[in-house]
Amino acid sequence: MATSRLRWLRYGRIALAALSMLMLLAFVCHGVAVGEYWFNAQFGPAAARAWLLLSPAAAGVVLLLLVLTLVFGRVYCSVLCPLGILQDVIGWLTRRRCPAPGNHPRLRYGIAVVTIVLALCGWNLGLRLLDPASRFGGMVATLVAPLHTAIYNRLYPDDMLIVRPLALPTLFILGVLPLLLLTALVLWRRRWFCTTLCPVGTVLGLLAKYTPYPLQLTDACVKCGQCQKICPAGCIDLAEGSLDNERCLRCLKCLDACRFQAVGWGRPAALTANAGTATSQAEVGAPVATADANNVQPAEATGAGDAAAVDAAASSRVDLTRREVLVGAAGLSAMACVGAALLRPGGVLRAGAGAGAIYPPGAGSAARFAALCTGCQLCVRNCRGNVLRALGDGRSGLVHLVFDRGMCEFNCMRCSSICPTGALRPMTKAAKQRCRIGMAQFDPSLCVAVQDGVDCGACAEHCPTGALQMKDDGPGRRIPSLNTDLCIGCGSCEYPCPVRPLRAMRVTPVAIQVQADDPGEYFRRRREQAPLPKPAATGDDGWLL
Amino acid sequence: MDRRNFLKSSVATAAATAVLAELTSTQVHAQEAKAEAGAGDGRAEVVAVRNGSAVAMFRKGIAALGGMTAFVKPGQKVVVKPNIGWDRTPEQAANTNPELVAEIVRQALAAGAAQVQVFDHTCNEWKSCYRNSGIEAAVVAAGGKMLSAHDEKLHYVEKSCPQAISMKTAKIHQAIVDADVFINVPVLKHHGGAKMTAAMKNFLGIFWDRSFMHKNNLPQCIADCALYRRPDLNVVDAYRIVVANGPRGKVAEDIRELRYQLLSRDIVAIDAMATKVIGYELAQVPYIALAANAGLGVADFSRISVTRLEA
Repeated sequence: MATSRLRWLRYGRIALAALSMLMLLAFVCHGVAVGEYWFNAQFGPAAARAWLLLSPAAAGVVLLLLVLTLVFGRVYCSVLCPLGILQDVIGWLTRRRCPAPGNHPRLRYGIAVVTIVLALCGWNLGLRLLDPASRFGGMVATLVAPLHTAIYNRLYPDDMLIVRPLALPTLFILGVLPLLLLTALVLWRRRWFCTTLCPVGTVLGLLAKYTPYPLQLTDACVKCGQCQKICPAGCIDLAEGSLDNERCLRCLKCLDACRFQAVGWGRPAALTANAGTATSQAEVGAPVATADANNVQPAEATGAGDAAAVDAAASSRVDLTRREVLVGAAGLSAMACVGAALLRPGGVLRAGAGAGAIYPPGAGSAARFAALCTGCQLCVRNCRGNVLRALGDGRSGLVHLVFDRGMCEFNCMRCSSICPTGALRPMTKAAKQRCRIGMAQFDPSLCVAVQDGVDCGACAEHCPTGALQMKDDGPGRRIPSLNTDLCIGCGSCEYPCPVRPLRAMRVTPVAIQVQADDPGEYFRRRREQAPLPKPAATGDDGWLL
Repeated sequence: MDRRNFLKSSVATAAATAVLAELTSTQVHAQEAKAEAGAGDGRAEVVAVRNGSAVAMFRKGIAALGGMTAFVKPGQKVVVKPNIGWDRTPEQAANTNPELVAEIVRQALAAGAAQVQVFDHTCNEWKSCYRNSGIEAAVVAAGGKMLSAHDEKLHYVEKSCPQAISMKTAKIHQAIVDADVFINVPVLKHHGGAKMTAAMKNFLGIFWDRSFMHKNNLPQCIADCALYRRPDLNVVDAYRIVVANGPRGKVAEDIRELRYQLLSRDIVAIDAMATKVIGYELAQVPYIALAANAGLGVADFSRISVTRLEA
């Protein structure tokens, strides 16, 4: 009876995970709107957003996930986190027998503390490197989405998806390398990433540890080792008869694997009651049903409860050996070196800033954006103008705009509205349409209208604000004239400019994004001074022709 | 290779070349003949309608031209080419009136068209343009099919036109090549580059390479465009027109509600008349004269007969 029910519990977990994966893939690859809910439910970006924008919605998501974790344990890691699901898939596909991950509390807490402290100080480095949702976004955007686009466009040529350029460095840094590393970790120590590296997992684990409904080995356990063999998190200690709920990813494989139904999920008291006779195996203290200060486990849960308490206490108590101090110091210095290398002017994180790139509306400034973007690629995937690039073009590191395939669409504000971390500030449409992300520069020496005297006007035709106008310049000659007060740097002039290889209109970066003048006001003022001529009605009955 | 084989292959090659050359030239001759027939006696007819909704004006105007059955025969493939160049709403008048496009689709289908396809090679991102112009929804509701025009390889074919002066070869949309009937439905606007956009300028949206045209004497290229495929019917939507800051329009004050519509088989005559509607001199819009010289139609006002109708 119980076996089949527990098995269905696991199948249910797998079905939910598959649904999450499907939704996230559909969202990143195809822009399916429902999928956005799944991405918004990702803990890392939501926490960053809640802090950055003081967003009540994001804070609500964070709170909800924390409560969920407190009640059910780290189910987030097995049904919501795309990287966790991906690791399960990799493990299932390879079926390699490898040791389970060990317990490395200091490394785990160290990474989480560094990540959180840096994030509080306004630098999302930890999330940029280790946030599972962002890294998953990067992999899908570079490895899966291009294939999806190619296939879809072949099948439905009348409803084409935007074909986005994919530079080799982008493919490698965001796609191939993280996937290889992750696969290697899975083959080496199963879900070592989740139990050791992932800052999101560590934070959630701290709550899961205190869940009133822990997963644990009951007294029916015969120590056959099936659960330990199958556990991808390495959280089962048979010798102690304990199951560490802090690291347990709630994959529920142990429930399914145990032939004796000795893995229980629920209130500890109820479980022990069900299990019948308590076979104590360790020296147990007085069986008093009082809750430990740290651990809400009645002492009746003998072996399991006590061991878990001991384990938890051990993991949170700091008693450093020399070796650990050395390893910790080495680790911290290595991180500092990596951070400095990434952040130095011209380093990966600042390269975009150093080279002076154009950043999406809402980025604020290069420095702000470099510190906050976690590289999830949602903005790049959703850019309707096809101008956002992840890396490459000699400006590695930061999402920036290149106007070779389109312009920053005037009515579109997808990037700033979709950015899950708040690295791009959400804006009203009016503010976005005046947000200066760059400044057009006109080079008359290259312009065909100036040099060849031909009627071109492509730049003025496309300019959405009226910053560019064709001005009379002698008989039959009209040349572009740029009003910098109105220019927002959207690239609507650079993209259509027909001059090659260097265009006559080029958008140059600005240090800080500011609001340009309001075109409406500008043109109303001008019309008051010089009204537009009305066509004269020449024909009979006021006909114009 | 022996002498016999060499001779054989050279003869075969020569024959193939001759046949190919003959094929191309007949094609061009056919086009020329058609062009002459279109120009006819050097006169042109333009129907002008005013003071109604876009749909009412079209109904009145097309009736004056003999009804849609005069243009569309049962079983024919029809392409309607509106201006959907910009991600703007119908009120902003940068694109053709969606109800007008839908009415043309409906009437073409009612006249027995096998299918009616609508597309434009847009300036802004095409899906936004199709959606926000209101044209996609209106056309689909009317029974027409929206085509994508955004992939060089999938949607365009290379054609050459020796008569053209600036644009000798061009990549033109497959649907235009395959169509039996081509209905050109531009919106009348001021244009920063070409001064005015109406029927002829609307042709830029059936070609792939806009930047070639901008680089190589835009007015001449606009005049060359119509050589590739003469439209069977032109409808110039002047219900709302952009009179400044065209072709996109920047502010509400750039738009004037005129409530006019022009219809003609002659693409040059209709553009010539459109200059009067928007209030320009003919000479200010150089491509009209260039097209008239190429024999595409009549630009001389004295040779254009205008039927004026109130809707």
